[in-house]
Amino acid sequence: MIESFAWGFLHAFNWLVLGYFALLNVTYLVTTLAAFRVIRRYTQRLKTVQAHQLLAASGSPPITIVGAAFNEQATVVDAVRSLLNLEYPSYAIYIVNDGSKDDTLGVMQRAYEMEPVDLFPTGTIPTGRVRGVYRSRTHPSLYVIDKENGGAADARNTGFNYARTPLVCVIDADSLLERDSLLRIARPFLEDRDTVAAGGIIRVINGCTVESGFVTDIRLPKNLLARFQVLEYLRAFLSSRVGWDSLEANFLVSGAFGVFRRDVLIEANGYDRTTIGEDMELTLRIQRTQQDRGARHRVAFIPDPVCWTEVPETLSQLGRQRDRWHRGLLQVFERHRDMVGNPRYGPLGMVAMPYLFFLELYGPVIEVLGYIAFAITVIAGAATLPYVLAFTALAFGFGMALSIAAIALEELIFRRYARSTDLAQLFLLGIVEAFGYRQLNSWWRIRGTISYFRGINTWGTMERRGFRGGTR
Amino acid sequence: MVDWLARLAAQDRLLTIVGIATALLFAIALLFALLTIALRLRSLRLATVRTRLEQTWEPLVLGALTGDVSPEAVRNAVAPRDSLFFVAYVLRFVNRFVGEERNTMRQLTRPYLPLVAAQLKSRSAESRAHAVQTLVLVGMEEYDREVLSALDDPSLTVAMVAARTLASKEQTRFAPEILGRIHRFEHWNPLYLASLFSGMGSDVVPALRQIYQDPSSDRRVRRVVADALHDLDDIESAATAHTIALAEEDVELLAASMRLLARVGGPADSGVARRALGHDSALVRLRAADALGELGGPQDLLRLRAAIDDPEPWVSLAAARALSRLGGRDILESLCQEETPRGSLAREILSAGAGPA
Repeated sequence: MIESFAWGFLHAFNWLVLGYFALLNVTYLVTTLAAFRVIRRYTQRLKTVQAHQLLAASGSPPITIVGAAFNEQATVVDAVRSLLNLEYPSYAIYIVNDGSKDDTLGVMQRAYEMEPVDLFPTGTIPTGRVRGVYRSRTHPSLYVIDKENGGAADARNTGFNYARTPLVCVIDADSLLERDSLLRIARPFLEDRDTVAAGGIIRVINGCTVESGFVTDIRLPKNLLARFQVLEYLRAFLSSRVGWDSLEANFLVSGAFGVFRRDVLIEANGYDRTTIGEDMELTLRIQRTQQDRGARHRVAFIPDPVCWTEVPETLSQLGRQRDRWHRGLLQVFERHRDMVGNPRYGPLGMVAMPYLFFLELYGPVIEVLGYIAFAITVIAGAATLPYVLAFTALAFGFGMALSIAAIALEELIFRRYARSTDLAQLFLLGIVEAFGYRQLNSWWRIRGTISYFRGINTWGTMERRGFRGGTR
Repeated sequence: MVDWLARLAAQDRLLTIVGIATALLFAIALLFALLTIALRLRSLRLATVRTRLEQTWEPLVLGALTGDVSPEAVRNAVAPRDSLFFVAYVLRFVNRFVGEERNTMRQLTRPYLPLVAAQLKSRSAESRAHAVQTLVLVGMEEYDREVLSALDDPSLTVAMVAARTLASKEQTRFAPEILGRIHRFEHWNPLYLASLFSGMGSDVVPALRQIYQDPSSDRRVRRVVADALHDLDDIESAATAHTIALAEEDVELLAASMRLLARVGGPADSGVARRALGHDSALVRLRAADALGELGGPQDLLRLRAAIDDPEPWVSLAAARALSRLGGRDILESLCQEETPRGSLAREILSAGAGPA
């Protein structure tokens, strides 16, 4: 009786896993196909409306770039140098030193001759205490706001309070923007007055050559983990974000590179300092606030403004990052669960939120339990070899098709990896990542779930190597 | 092997479904891989061909500019299949030239413009937009009708590109048509739209004034027009701005009118600014404080001092700046000692604007 029940349960669970797996991958496939349509049209549109035409327009809204820096002495000077050379008619740079324990403030003071100034905050978001504001003698649009440690969200909020431009660009202080990124990302704000936020693409800088604060030679990283992440980022941004954008269901403007209307940010009270998934939380909160008060709004994703960022190269660092991301996702749903399946929020509530809740949030648990159940089924002899092979091939086929589709999207418009060897390696990565890397990711996300339920709310640290020194 | 698979499939429907799905996925993956390779090969081939064409055309086009090469010789070097690329090539440089040289460049593209104009009938909005842009930048007046009709294109993208490229000082003949369709561009950023109109130069001022003072015009449009008149320093709009500021209830139009008054008004308009300083809307109070800094006098110092305590920080900032402009440094210096945001504001203003504009 018990044995029969156990087999029945196992059988049912296998079907549940199969259903989850099919739904998840079909969603990926749908957003990828939507992305193809969008990117093809976008390529044509770029020929007509070039970003540089906007540069000539006096109406381009000024932007304040806000970068939160915590222990970034290795990268901050070069990152700022790159920011100082962006192509945009009018912008200011605020580096918020979030109580760094290293010499972040000192290296900035020496490199850019910062002097103390009084600056009146025009925003009212509650933040940690500001110890001082500094302005560069050599670059008057560059400021450093030195504050007590309060986390990245608190540091960014401090920057928002001091910003005086209609638009605010959020970046990580250790990331590099491409020279025309601001021009490109400002476009939706010019063409549609209802745009409240826009995100750009994040690319992996590991392996690339950096000169004078700009990426001059794009190559795949030598480190295998970083290579997998190149493919992951292509999938996440070109297939997923573009696809969700086409459905008007953007759920994330990354904290690593995003532009917001300042008034909307202040009205929303900035990032939530108590969550580690603060960028998604803010993106959702802004949209629900706008929707709740009946204001037309649009959150856009633009695939060509590029922000380069360093990704973890060790298993422990990558594991901590993924653990944190998943805890962040769980925290987001603590606050916005009522948006799931809520028609009030349009495609975001009806499609994107259920996808995130059912497939991304609890997906890893189902997936890992699925591996275990499948193993039990095989060991107990309940699944024949053809079944094992067929299901393994199916899982492998989905992963491979999605990865190669992302590479095709990259080739359709950007062609950043110009070397044929890099292209071939990307194909190879798409084939092999299903064996090990995917399972590791699921495990890290499960660990994130466990950490969440244990009440762990820390960020962890990532060691930066710095941009100086050519090829990274 | 095939027989074995066929036997298995016949025995088990689930396995058949999984097998078909897997085969399909592998086919999709293969298709994407082939697409990627084809795209790569195509872009490499295109780059080679285009580099070769540009190397051939460059000396000829330069020769045509100096008069050493006849336009016919240039045309002979352009094969029919390359004609649209030739137009795109010329388009890249046409804005770098002025006068006769620019005209020469445009003349070089003339034989190919019918091909570009034909793209206006394309089903793709992006292709139509591209054609409009090309015709405006290298086209002659003979294409005015086609280009103007693009302002009414069902696609807002096409209309937007048409307006954007037509709105220039060199092509003021299009200004009435663009302004006549101003409602189509309402969804643009207002400041960007205003800069587009002001970019057309002073010739459009009378038309802008008319829209601004017409109460039947859409308020959002009037607000944009007020900003354009501000950018154009149109002194004659002051009277209209004064009237609107006295009676208008729409906050954005009122604020834009205050901004315009601050730029082009005179002391006679300061009363309007004083009144607006008590408005419920922080945006209006901000503009009023700014206007008072331009139009007011010593009698406004205490009023502006009080505005520094406004609950909205932007109003405080505008009031402090206005105080500084009106010579109220003593008041600001008295605030400097405070270790409060107000003290910080006073110190910022007194230190000659340490903050960003």
